Amino acid sequence: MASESISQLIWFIATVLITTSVALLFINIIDDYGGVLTERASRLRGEVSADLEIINDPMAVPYDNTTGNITFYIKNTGSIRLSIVDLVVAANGVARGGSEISTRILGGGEWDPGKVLVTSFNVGNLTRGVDYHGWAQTSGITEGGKLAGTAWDTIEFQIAS
Amino acid sequence: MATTASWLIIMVGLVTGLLLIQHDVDVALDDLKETTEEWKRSQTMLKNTDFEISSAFYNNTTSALRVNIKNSGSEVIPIAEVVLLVDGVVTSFNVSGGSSSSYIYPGESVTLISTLSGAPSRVRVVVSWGVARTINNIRYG
Repeated sequence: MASESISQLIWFIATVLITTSVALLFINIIDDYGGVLTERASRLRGEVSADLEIINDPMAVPYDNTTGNITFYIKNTGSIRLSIVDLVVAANGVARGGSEISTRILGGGEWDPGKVLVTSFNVGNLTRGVDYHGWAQTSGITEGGKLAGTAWDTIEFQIAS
Repeated sequence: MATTASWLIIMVGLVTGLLLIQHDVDVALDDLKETTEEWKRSQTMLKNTDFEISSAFYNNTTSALRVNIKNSGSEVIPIAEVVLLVDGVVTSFNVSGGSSSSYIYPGESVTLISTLSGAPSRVRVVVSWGVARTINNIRYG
């Protein structure tokens, strides 16, 4: 009789321990899922909010034959600020970023929605009358200062005479 | 008894999990709702933003370029967002005409005036959302 009670008690404790573990596992999984859901929604918002457009005249992109510097005018056409630090630009297969590009905002200030960033970078040996491909890419910045979303645009162009 | 306790613990675990996720789901749904509204708004504004370059005239004597543009869309165009590219280069300009110094209202025409160092061959104007028009049949006189 006593041994049966002990056996039942052990069975009860084991069952409680196992189900508690399962319940804690459920809680962890659900909590993790909630975190992922929030992050994905925030990322999606960033992707939609961050946008840019290279507004150069495609038939006359400024190019300095002496220095090999090309100039892109890039407008923030999204609804959040864009990161200048994370900007990467490319022309004719040559990509530049960071200290390799010079930047300034038309009218000053930050790269806020509607503002145009003027960026120059070195790409040697471009020729008049030849079609080239270029692109620009950067990240959006939320009000909290976090990076959110990717903004990019491409352009088929010729250099100015 | 053990079965009842097990079910109870599992149910408490599930309810606790659901309570924990509720806040995250609310935040995510709010984000998605705002994202959808923002996307719809920007697409509508982009669709409704339109303009035309009526004419471009370069005065050889005064070196002044006059570009007439008309807001042919249904959205207001902020003048601060207007960019003038002459032969591919961003060029500063003054605005003449229109009822406001800050906006070009639908149906209104304004003139962008810029003094250049030489006769231009191409003029491109860019406004909000990157909407752009180019003209290369400039009149000279």
